[in-house]
Amino acid sequence: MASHPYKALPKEAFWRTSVAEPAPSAIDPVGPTKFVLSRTDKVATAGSCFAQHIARHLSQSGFNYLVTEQAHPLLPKPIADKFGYGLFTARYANIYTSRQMIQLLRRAFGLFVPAEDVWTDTDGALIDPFRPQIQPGGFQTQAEFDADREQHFAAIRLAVETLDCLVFTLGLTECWLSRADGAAYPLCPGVSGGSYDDKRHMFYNLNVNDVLADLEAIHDFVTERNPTARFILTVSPVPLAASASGDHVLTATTYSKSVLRAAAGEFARSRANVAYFPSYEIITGSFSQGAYFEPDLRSVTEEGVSHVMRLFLAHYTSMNDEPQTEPPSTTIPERKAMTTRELVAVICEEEALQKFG
Amino acid sequence: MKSISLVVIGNSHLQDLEEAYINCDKNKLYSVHTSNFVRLYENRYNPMVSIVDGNTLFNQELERDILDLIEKVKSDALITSILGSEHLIWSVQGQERPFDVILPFAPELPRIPDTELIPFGALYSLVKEGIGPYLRFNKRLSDITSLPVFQLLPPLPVGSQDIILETAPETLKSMLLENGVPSPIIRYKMWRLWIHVAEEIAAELGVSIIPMPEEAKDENGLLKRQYARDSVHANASLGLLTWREINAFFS
Repeated sequence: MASHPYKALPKEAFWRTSVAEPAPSAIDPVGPTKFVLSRTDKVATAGSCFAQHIARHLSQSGFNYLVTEQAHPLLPKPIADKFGYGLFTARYANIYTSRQMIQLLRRAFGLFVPAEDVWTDTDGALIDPFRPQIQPGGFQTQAEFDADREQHFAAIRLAVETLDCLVFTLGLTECWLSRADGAAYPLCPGVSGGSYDDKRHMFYNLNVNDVLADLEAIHDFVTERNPTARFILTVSPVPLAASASGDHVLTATTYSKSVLRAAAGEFARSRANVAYFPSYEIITGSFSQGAYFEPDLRSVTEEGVSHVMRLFLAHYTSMNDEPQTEPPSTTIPERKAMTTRELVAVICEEEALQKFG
Repeated sequence: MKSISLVVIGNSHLQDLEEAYINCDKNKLYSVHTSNFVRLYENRYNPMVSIVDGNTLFNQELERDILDLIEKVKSDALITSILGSEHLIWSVQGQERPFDVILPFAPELPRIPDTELIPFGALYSLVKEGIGPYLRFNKRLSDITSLPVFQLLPPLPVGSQDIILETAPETLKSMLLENGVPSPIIRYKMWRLWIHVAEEIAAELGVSIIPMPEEAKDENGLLKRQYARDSVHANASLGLLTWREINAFFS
């Protein structure tokens, strides 16, 4: 029989043996990895809603999940969560597009100041157009708005300068830009603060070249300041909630995800320090027959997230081979101090009881 | 002038009032009112508040005792001094990472250098969730007694830093020695936040607040040393000034 290249390929190269036949939970499309992360490597995260799952699991899995903008220990977890602490490395909330990401980096380092930099809601509270939901009730004063942003940017700069790996989840290609300077908003103005004005805002759908250029800019921006930084790109499997492209949302979703997948794959191929991780394929692959989506066909089930993270840890970490020591923690330690109520009881009630009891 | 019968209900900040009441010149004070006290820090009233299935429930024994006392002394009104020390505790607890907050209702207060800014909304939520359920006891009291309820606010933070460490109990002292005594400005800001939340809740519930004695303030707007009992409580001297305010309120 004549010889040809397919005869020498491993079983992972064939659909029947690696997708159709194995049990769904055994599917592993990751492929060869470019690098491995140790328990001490500082891992930063950014990206769309799906990236929050990655951040949560990294934190729980003993990774050195980098958080440079931590909630103050005074704040109980429910309040800290409401104010967007710990969702990602810094309190930047969801970053849906590559355009948003490179602009955030430039803004944090004082290289880009958008013309439309603050919105005022009907109650007079101030909204950050680039993090419109970060502060429930809005910022109450300009002083607080400015001071918080300065603190936030300092946290981003620290993250850029100290991370060992950035896991960036690409979510969307559709975005809303300022006509004045191209500033990219995470949400269309008017949806959550601000107001939409066709003279000031425009719709734009990033294409492959746009995303590639943004990824290159992000990579070069970070490595200029942190030469040993590595990157893991992944594409969110969560479909668009709505499309302003004029296309059916399903068609628009396929376009978006295709662009992001193509750009991420192409960019990863071109850089030794950039890897592509197939979250998208794991969740949307036909092998699971939709089981990794909730009934709304958008939200990813915990089972799906677990499959993604199991493969991430298996391929991208050396944790199983390393001694079982506590990883250095940059996450918020559990508060072991007495609660406020207990302390009040100690300094007030007990002393008063002694006097009047 | 008819003498008013008051039932005064409070936590540890009741001490200065009760001491001043017992020890003062009764001719000067008692012509306006007579007072009986309910001490919320007594063990049988603990917990004062419980949250069950999202509902706020108040200590039944406490309610019964208050109603019995009101009946016994034929009370005309209630005065409450509920909680009042949390602002200091939060200031001390927060010292492990020195912090600051910008209060929208007091924008003139200076920023504290080399501190971490906590969003106002987040600290506001902390305070409101911490003291709100207890302060709502004022409304519960007016509902079950049909008497007017007047609320006292906790005394200003003391200006002196020394007294904070000198008078701190051991549990607090170890935190103070480890992280330092919170600055007067952050203690003042946390007190202002406590007061702001308390005044908001009082306005919502229709509870009147008895004003604080102005003469107790030092040149920086903090509590004069002579009126401080310890790191957070006032002494009977301030209690006397407070009774004068109460009398003026009812005159």
